Amino acid sequence: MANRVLLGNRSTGGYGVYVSKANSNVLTCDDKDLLLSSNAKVSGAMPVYAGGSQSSLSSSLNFLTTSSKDNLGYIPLVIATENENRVWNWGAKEDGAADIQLNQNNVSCFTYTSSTITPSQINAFPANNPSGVTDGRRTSSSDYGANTGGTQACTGLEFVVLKMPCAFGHMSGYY
Amino acid sequence: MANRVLLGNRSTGGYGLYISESGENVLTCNKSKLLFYTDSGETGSSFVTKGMHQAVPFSGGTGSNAPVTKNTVNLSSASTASLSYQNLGSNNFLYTAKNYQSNANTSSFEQGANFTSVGSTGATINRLGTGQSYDVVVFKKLSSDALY
Repeated sequence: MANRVLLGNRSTGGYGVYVSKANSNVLTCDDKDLLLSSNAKVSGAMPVYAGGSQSSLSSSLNFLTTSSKDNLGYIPLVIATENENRVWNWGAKEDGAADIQLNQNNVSCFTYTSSTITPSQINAFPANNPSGVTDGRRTSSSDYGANTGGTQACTGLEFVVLKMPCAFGHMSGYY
Repeated sequence: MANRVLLGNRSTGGYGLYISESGENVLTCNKSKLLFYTDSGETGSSFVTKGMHQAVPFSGGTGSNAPVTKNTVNLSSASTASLSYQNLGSNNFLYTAKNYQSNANTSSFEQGANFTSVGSTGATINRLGTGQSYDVVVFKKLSSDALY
Protein backbone atom coordinates (compact mmCIF):
# COMPACT_ATOMS: atom_id res chain seq x y z
CA MET A 1 0.00 0.00 0.00
CA ALA A 2 1.29 3.45 -0.88
CA ASN A 3 2.31 6.00 1.76
CA ARG A 4 -0.76 8.24 2.06
CA VAL A 5 -0.02 10.66 4.89
CA LEU A 6 3.09 12.73 5.60
CA LEU A 7 3.65 15.07 8.51
CA GLY A 8 7.16 16.30 7.91
CA ASN A 9 9.62 17.37 5.22
CA ARG A 10 8.50 16.52 1.69
CA SER A 11 11.17 16.67 -1.02
CA THR A 12 8.85 18.89 -3.06
CA GLY A 13 7.10 21.34 -0.81
CA GLY A 14 9.13 21.23 2.40
CA TYR A 15 7.71 20.83 5.89
CA GLY A 16 3.96 20.45 6.17
CA VAL A 17 0.98 18.11 6.22
CA TYR A 18 0.30 16.11 3.08
CA VAL A 19 -2.32 13.49 2.15
CA SER A 20 -2.16 11.78 -1.21
CA LYS A 21 -4.83 10.13 -3.32
CA ALA A 22 -5.28 6.38 -3.04
CA ASN A 23 -2.34 4.45 -4.55
CA SER A 24 -0.17 7.58 -4.83
CA ASN A 25 3.01 7.77 -2.73
CA VAL A 26 2.73 10.95 -0.69
CA LEU A 27 6.53 11.17 -0.52
CA THR A 28 7.14 11.37 -4.25
CA CYS A 29 3.88 11.92 -6.13
CA ASP A 30 3.09 14.98 -8.22
CA ASP A 31 1.26 17.85 -6.54
CA LYS A 32 -1.81 17.03 -8.62
CA ASP A 33 -2.07 13.69 -6.80
CA LEU A 34 -2.30 15.30 -3.36
CA LEU A 35 -5.69 15.56 -1.69
CA LEU A 36 -4.27 17.93 0.91
CA SER A 37 -1.10 19.99 1.03
CA SER A 38 -0.49 22.57 3.71
CA ASN A 39 2.15 24.09 1.42
CA ALA A 40 -0.27 24.77 -1.43
CA LYS A 41 -1.64 28.26 -1.46
CA VAL A 42 -4.69 27.11 -3.35
CA SER A 43 -7.74 27.18 -1.14
CA GLY A 44 -9.69 23.98 -0.76
CA ALA A 45 -11.94 24.53 2.19
CA MET A 46 -15.23 23.12 0.95
CA PRO A 47 -15.86 19.37 0.85
CA VAL A 48 -17.30 18.01 -2.37
CA TYR A 49 -20.10 15.55 -1.73
CA ALA A 50 -20.92 14.67 -5.34
CA GLY A 51 -20.59 15.94 -8.87
CA GLY A 52 -20.82 14.99 -12.48
CA SER A 53 -20.50 15.64 -16.19
CA GLN A 54 -23.48 15.34 -18.53
CA SER A 55 -23.34 15.89 -22.28
CA SER A 56 -26.97 16.93 -22.03
CA LEU A 57 -29.70 17.05 -19.40
CA SER A 58 -33.40 17.57 -20.00
CA SER A 59 -34.95 16.41 -16.72
CA SER A 60 -34.11 15.86 -13.07
CA LEU A 61 -30.80 14.17 -12.28
CA ASN A 62 -30.35 12.49 -8.92
CA PHE A 63 -26.81 13.23 -7.80
CA LEU A 64 -27.06 10.85 -4.83
CA THR A 65 -27.32 7.66 -6.85
CA THR A 66 -23.59 7.04 -7.19
CA SER A 67 -22.32 5.14 -4.13
CA SER A 68 -25.86 5.40 -2.73
CA LYS A 69 -25.04 8.56 -0.86
CA ASP A 70 -27.21 9.66 2.03
CA ASN A 71 -29.44 12.66 1.57
CA LEU A 72 -27.73 15.55 3.35
CA GLY A 73 -31.01 16.75 4.78
CA TYR A 74 -30.70 20.17 3.21
CA ILE A 75 -30.43 21.70 -0.25
CA PRO A 76 -26.69 21.90 -0.90
CA LEU A 77 -24.81 24.57 -2.79
CA VAL A 78 -24.25 23.34 -6.35
CA ILE A 79 -21.83 25.06 -8.71
CA ALA A 80 -22.87 24.34 -12.28
CA THR A 81 -21.77 25.48 -15.70
CA GLU A 82 -23.00 24.59 -19.18
CA ASN A 83 -22.88 25.73 -22.77
CA GLU A 84 -25.96 27.95 -22.41
CA ASN A 85 -24.16 30.39 -20.17
CA ARG A 86 -25.62 33.54 -21.67
CA VAL A 87 -28.23 36.21 -21.51
CA TRP A 88 -31.08 36.05 -23.96
CA ASN A 89 -33.29 38.98 -24.89
CA TRP A 90 -35.77 39.41 -27.65
CA GLY A 91 -37.92 42.33 -28.58
CA ALA A 92 -40.31 43.45 -31.26
CA LYS A 93 -41.72 46.81 -32.13
CA GLU A 94 -44.94 46.73 -34.07
CA ASP A 95 -46.55 49.82 -35.55
CA GLY A 96 -49.72 50.60 -33.68
CA ALA A 97 -49.13 47.88 -31.11
CA ALA A 98 -47.37 47.56 -27.80
CA ASP A 99 -43.71 46.70 -27.75
CA ILE A 100 -42.82 43.16 -26.74
CA GLN A 101 -39.65 42.66 -24.78
CA LEU A 102 -38.52 39.33 -23.33
CA ASN A 103 -35.51 39.22 -21.04
CA GLN A 104 -33.61 36.41 -19.36
CA ASN A 105 -30.57 37.63 -17.49
CA ASN A 106 -29.07 34.14 -17.66
CA VAL A 107 -30.41 31.18 -19.60
CA SER A 108 -28.32 28.83 -17.45
CA CYS A 109 -30.90 28.35 -14.73
CA PHE A 110 -31.49 25.29 -12.53
CA THR A 111 -33.74 24.21 -9.73
CA TYR A 112 -32.36 22.14 -6.91
CA THR A 113 -33.63 19.83 -4.22
CA SER A 114 -31.64 17.97 -1.61
CA SER A 115 -31.07 15.22 -4.17
CA THR A 116 -31.58 16.58 -7.69
CA ILE A 117 -30.52 19.17 -10.22
CA THR A 118 -33.01 20.12 -12.97
CA PRO A 119 -32.60 22.51 -15.91
CA SER A 120 -35.19 25.24 -15.61
CA GLN A 121 -36.31 28.46 -17.20
CA ILE A 122 -37.74 31.83 -16.31
CA ASN A 123 -40.72 32.52 -18.47
CA ALA A 124 -39.95 36.04 -19.49
CA PHE A 125 -43.40 37.13 -20.56
CA PRO A 126 -45.30 38.06 -17.38
CA ALA A 127 -48.56 36.42 -18.43
CA ASN A 128 -46.67 33.15 -18.79
CA ASN A 129 -44.85 33.50 -15.52
CA PRO A 130 -47.34 32.85 -12.73
CA SER A 131 -45.00 30.48 -10.90
CA GLY A 132 -41.70 32.24 -11.45
CA VAL A 133 -39.18 29.57 -12.38
CA THR A 134 -40.44 26.39 -14.01
CA ASP A 135 -38.67 23.15 -14.85
CA GLY A 136 -37.60 22.62 -18.46
CA ARG A 137 -35.99 24.78 -21.08
CA ARG A 138 -37.22 26.67 -24.09
CA THR A 139 -37.09 24.89 -27.40
CA SER A 140 -36.33 26.71 -30.61
CA SER A 141 -39.96 27.69 -31.07
CA SER A 142 -41.64 27.22 -27.69
CA ASP A 143 -43.65 29.84 -25.90
CA TYR A 144 -43.28 32.72 -28.28
CA GLY A 145 -43.00 31.13 -31.70
CA ALA A 146 -40.14 30.87 -34.14
CA ASN A 147 -37.46 33.50 -34.62
CA THR A 148 -37.42 34.43 -30.95
CA GLY A 149 -34.09 32.79 -30.20
CA GLY A 150 -32.83 29.26 -30.65
CA THR A 151 -33.05 26.27 -28.36
CA GLN A 152 -31.94 26.71 -24.77
CA ALA A 153 -31.42 23.00 -24.07
CA CYS A 154 -28.88 22.24 -21.35
CA THR A 155 -25.70 20.73 -22.86
CA GLY A 156 -22.12 20.36 -21.67
CA LEU A 157 -23.15 20.37 -18.03
CA GLU A 158 -20.49 20.22 -15.30
CA PHE A 159 -21.36 20.49 -11.63
CA VAL A 160 -20.12 19.90 -8.11
CA VAL A 161 -22.28 19.45 -5.04
CA LEU A 162 -20.74 21.04 -1.97
CA LYS A 163 -21.49 20.23 1.65
CA MET A 164 -22.81 23.72 2.22
CA PRO A 165 -26.49 24.27 3.02
CA CYS A 166 -28.50 26.75 1.00
CA ALA A 167 -31.84 28.31 1.75
CA PHE A 168 -31.20 28.33 5.48
CA GLY A 169 -34.51 28.44 7.28
CA HIS A 170 -36.18 26.64 4.38
CA MET A 171 -34.69 23.19 4.81
CA SER A 172 -37.81 21.39 3.68
CA GLY A 173 -38.68 20.89 0.06
CA TYR A 174 -40.90 23.97 0.00
CA TYR A 175 -40.24 27.69 -0.34
CA MET B 1 -12.73 16.81 25.51
CA ALA B 2 -13.15 14.36 22.68
CA ASN B 3 -10.40 13.64 20.15
CA ARG B 4 -11.36 15.78 17.15
CA VAL B 5 -8.51 15.44 14.62
CA LEU B 6 -6.74 12.31 13.43
CA LEU B 7 -3.90 12.22 10.94
CA GLY B 8 -3.09 8.55 10.69
CA ASN B 9 -4.64 5.09 10.64
CA ARG B 10 -8.30 4.97 11.70
CA SER B 11 -9.79 1.62 12.59
CA THR B 12 -12.62 2.31 10.17
CA GLY B 13 -11.31 4.01 7.05
CA GLY B 14 -7.56 3.37 7.17
CA TYR B 15 -4.87 6.00 6.67
CA GLY B 16 -6.04 9.55 6.11
CA LEU B 17 -7.04 12.80 7.69
CA TYR B 18 -10.22 12.84 9.82
CA ILE B 19 -12.02 15.62 11.68
CA SER B 20 -15.07 14.85 13.81
CA GLU B 21 -17.99 16.93 14.97
CA SER B 22 -17.80 18.62 18.34
CA GLY B 23 -18.20 16.07 21.13
CA GLU B 24 -17.47 13.10 18.85
CA ASN B 25 -14.35 10.93 19.25
CA VAL B 26 -12.67 10.94 15.85
CA LEU B 27 -11.07 7.57 16.58
CA THR B 28 -14.28 5.63 17.05
CA CYS B 29 -17.28 7.69 15.95
CA ASN B 30 -19.60 6.75 13.12
CA LYS B 31 -18.64 8.20 9.74
CA SER B 32 -21.79 10.27 9.81
CA LYS B 33 -20.20 12.25 12.64
CA LEU B 34 -17.11 13.16 10.63
CA LEU B 35 -16.90 16.70 9.28
CA PHE B 36 -14.06 15.78 6.96
CA TYR B 37 -12.65 12.53 5.71
CA THR B 38 -10.15 11.90 2.93
CA ASP B 39 -11.78 9.73 0.34
CA SER B 40 -10.89 6.06 0.30
CA GLY B 41 -13.29 5.00 -2.40
CA GLU B 42 -16.04 4.54 0.12
CA THR B 43 -19.48 3.39 -0.84
CA GLY B 44 -22.79 2.93 0.89
CA SER B 45 -24.76 4.97 3.34
CA SER B 46 -21.68 5.95 5.34
CA PHE B 47 -20.41 8.11 2.50
CA VAL B 48 -18.98 11.32 3.92
CA THR B 49 -17.18 13.32 1.26
CA LYS B 50 -15.45 12.87 -2.05
CA GLY B 51 -12.66 15.38 -1.60
CA MET B 52 -12.09 19.10 -1.46
CA HIS B 53 -13.34 21.77 -3.80
CA GLN B 54 -10.32 23.40 -5.35
CA ALA B 55 -9.56 26.23 -7.71
CA VAL B 56 -6.78 25.81 -10.24
CA PRO B 57 -4.48 28.85 -10.38
CA PHE B 58 -3.60 30.51 -13.64
CA SER B 59 -0.24 31.39 -12.10
CA GLY B 60 1.48 31.41 -8.72
CA GLY B 61 0.46 29.17 -5.85
CA THR B 62 3.97 27.97 -5.00
CA GLY B 63 6.76 29.38 -2.89
CA SER B 64 6.09 32.99 -1.98
CA ASN B 65 3.85 33.61 -4.98
CA ALA B 66 0.17 34.00 -4.21
CA PRO B 67 -2.13 32.04 -6.53
CA VAL B 68 -3.96 33.93 -9.25
CA THR B 69 -7.29 32.14 -9.61
CA LYS B 70 -9.21 34.67 -11.71
CA ASN B 71 -8.45 35.56 -15.29
CA THR B 72 -10.24 38.37 -17.11
CA VAL B 73 -10.60 37.61 -20.80
CA ASN B 74 -11.49 40.31 -23.29
CA LEU B 75 -13.80 39.01 -26.00
CA SER B 76 -15.04 42.39 -27.14
CA SER B 77 -13.81 41.76 -30.66
CA ALA B 78 -12.36 38.25 -30.83
CA SER B 79 -14.77 35.32 -30.87
CA THR B 80 -12.46 32.91 -29.03
CA ALA B 81 -9.41 33.03 -26.80
CA SER B 82 -7.00 30.46 -25.40
CA LEU B 83 -6.60 30.05 -21.66
CA SER B 84 -3.60 28.55 -19.89
CA TYR B 85 -3.50 27.43 -16.28
CA GLN B 86 -1.38 25.26 -14.05
CA ASN B 87 -1.39 21.48 -14.26
CA LEU B 88 -3.26 20.06 -11.28
CA GLY B 89 -4.56 17.10 -13.23
CA SER B 90 -6.79 16.48 -16.20
CA ASN B 91 -10.24 16.85 -14.64
CA ASN B 92 -11.19 20.52 -14.76
CA PHE B 93 -14.21 22.63 -15.53
CA LEU B 94 -14.32 26.34 -16.16
CA TYR B 95 -16.80 28.83 -14.82
CA THR B 96 -17.67 32.38 -15.75
CA ALA B 97 -20.37 34.67 -14.48
CA LYS B 98 -21.06 38.24 -15.37
CA ASN B 99 -23.68 40.88 -15.05
CA TYR B 100 -24.79 40.64 -18.60
CA GLN B 101 -26.30 43.49 -20.50
CA SER B 102 -30.05 43.69 -20.70
CA ASN B 103 -30.95 45.14 -24.03
CA ALA B 104 -34.11 44.03 -25.76
CA ASN B 105 -34.30 45.83 -29.04
CA THR B 106 -36.08 45.01 -32.23
CA SER B 107 -34.24 41.73 -32.75
CA SER B 108 -32.89 38.85 -30.75
CA PHE B 109 -29.91 39.56 -28.55
CA GLU B 110 -27.58 37.23 -26.70
CA GLN B 111 -24.41 37.57 -24.71
CA GLY B 112 -22.32 35.03 -22.85
CA ALA B 113 -19.48 32.54 -23.10
CA ASN B 114 -18.79 28.82 -22.86
CA PHE B 115 -15.74 26.57 -23.01
CA THR B 116 -14.35 23.83 -25.25
CA SER B 117 -11.14 21.77 -25.48
CA VAL B 118 -10.80 21.69 -21.70
CA GLY B 119 -7.53 19.98 -20.76
CA SER B 120 -5.07 19.73 -17.90
CA THR B 121 -3.29 22.98 -18.76
CA GLY B 122 -5.62 24.95 -21.01
CA ALA B 123 -9.00 25.50 -22.65
CA THR B 124 -10.76 27.67 -25.20
CA ILE B 125 -13.36 30.26 -24.25
CA ASN B 126 -16.00 30.93 -26.90
CA ARG B 127 -18.02 34.10 -27.13
CA LEU B 128 -21.79 33.80 -27.47
CA GLY B 129 -23.36 36.79 -29.16
CA THR B 130 -22.29 40.31 -28.27
CA GLY B 131 -18.79 40.62 -26.89
CA GLN B 132 -17.51 41.84 -23.55
CA SER B 133 -14.90 40.83 -20.96
CA TYR B 134 -15.37 37.70 -18.86
CA ASP B 135 -13.95 36.70 -15.50
CA VAL B 136 -12.97 33.02 -15.57
CA VAL B 137 -12.23 30.58 -12.74
CA VAL B 138 -11.03 26.99 -13.16
CA PHE B 139 -12.34 24.37 -10.75
CA LYS B 140 -11.15 20.83 -10.20
CA LYS B 141 -13.47 17.95 -10.90
CA LEU B 142 -12.83 14.93 -8.75
CA SER B 143 -13.53 12.45 -11.50
CA SER B 144 -14.30 12.26 -15.19
CA ASP B 145 -17.30 10.03 -14.45
CA ALA B 146 -20.82 11.10 -15.44
CA LEU B 147 -21.66 10.98 -11.74
CA TYR B 148 -19.25 10.75 -8.85
